[in-house]
Amino acid sequence: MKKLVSVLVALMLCLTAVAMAESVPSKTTDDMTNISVSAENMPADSSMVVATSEKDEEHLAACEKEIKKLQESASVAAYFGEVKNAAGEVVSLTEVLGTDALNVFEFTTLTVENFKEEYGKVTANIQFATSYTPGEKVLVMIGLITVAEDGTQNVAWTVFEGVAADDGSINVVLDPATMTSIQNGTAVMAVISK
Amino acid sequence: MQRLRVILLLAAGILLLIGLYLGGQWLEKRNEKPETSGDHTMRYAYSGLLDYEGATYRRRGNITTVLLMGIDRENQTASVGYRNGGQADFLRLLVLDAGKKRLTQIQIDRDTMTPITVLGVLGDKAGMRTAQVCLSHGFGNGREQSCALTVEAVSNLLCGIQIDFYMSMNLDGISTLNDLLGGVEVTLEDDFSALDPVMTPGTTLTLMGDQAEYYVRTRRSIGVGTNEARMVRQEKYISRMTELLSEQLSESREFVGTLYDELTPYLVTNVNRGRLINMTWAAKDYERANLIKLDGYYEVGADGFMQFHADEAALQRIVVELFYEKLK
Repeated sequence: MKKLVSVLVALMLCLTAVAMAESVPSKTTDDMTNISVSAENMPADSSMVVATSEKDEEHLAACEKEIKKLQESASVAAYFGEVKNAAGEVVSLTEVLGTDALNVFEFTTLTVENFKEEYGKVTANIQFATSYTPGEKVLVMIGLITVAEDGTQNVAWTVFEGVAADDGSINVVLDPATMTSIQNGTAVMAVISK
Repeated sequence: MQRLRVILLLAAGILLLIGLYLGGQWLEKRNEKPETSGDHTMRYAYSGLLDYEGATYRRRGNITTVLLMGIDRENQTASVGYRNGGQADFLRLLVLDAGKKRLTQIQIDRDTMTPITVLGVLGDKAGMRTAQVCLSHGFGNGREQSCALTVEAVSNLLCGIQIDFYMSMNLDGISTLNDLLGGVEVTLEDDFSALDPVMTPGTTLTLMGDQAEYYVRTRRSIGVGTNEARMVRQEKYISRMTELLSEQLSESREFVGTLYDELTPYLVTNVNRGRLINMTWAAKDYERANLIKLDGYYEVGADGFMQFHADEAALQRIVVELFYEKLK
């Protein structure tokens, strides 16, 4: 018996020790989301970065609060309510996707750095943990968070149509005004799919 | 009134008879179905057949598998968003073969690429994706659900073998385990004095409490700062730890239970105390086979992270050798 228990416990110790490799690069679920961007007039030496915010605890907490709200909502459509596209037109989420059964698998923080209006429209390729079916149409929701004086958190959502690429990532085009808003504010992003 | 009561009683009686008749018919029909225990085809289906290199193999019985996981999360309370379960950075499968009286360990690199289940932020299944096996634990609630996803991922890697039990331990458990054994004596080759003033190079001391964690965990600020150097340190520690464990166990059979009780706050497992004691007792004289390391190759993926691609043919050979027997 002592042999097996020794193995078991020594291994448990070993595994925790190895697991403690705080400095060893180890991919995490956060690392499964990657964003690469290009813009109409972006100079080659541009340092523009579009990313998720992994270390800003306030930003993460705001995002988690929204995920919780979504979880508690009667439906995905009910959570987002009336949403508009970048042109200000009201968009029916269920009509665009052609289904009443909407899913949100991805919901994350979003940051933009060093963007300039003159770069024009930005095409983002976003690889999420979820691998979408190539060619699948999805709705990329960009939400700008504001906090009222009474502490209530609100999100103003803008909807963008996205399409899944061959590798399961999502391609979406964002207008300069939205990019600037994300850069200057606190933003979250959600993907609605069938 | 009396007449109505009689009629009602008669009606109830008739209904009862009809019910009994129909019930009897149902039982008769059910019994007409062949017994699966007498069907050879079904029996083989349950046993699990496999065609391998021109021969047919059958899955062997009397094999128990236990997946050990080491989680890199500070605590194992339920996570928010089903994406923060922590990575299973250490994975090892124990194969207890009661037929051959043998204990085999399969080492699984955390970066081994295999299909894993991805959960959406609301906890619903978002699909499968080939990724590093360690990530499977990141999805789910950080406890049983995450462990189940890792068990599934390891099973996917090992040709769908059944994994009976899992034991997942959190980082916080090291100091507790160390102290349960009365501390582990080491001679320090590196300078840990920034973490603990008594931990200077050349000092021989019995590590207690957090010292154990400093010794096996710290890397960047210690010595040459490489992972390899730390691994050497860890091996020394584990080797001495194993000796201490053997000593403790030779003194008391109840030590398994004590370990289980003390480590429970750091463990997530589907093995209960009694079963663990029975399992270890049953396997006390098993032969210990050499550690199996999977063949394959490493490469850096497009995302900049390491990937290990296991050799599929070698994997299948291992699975066949450990879990199957050739049909004559």
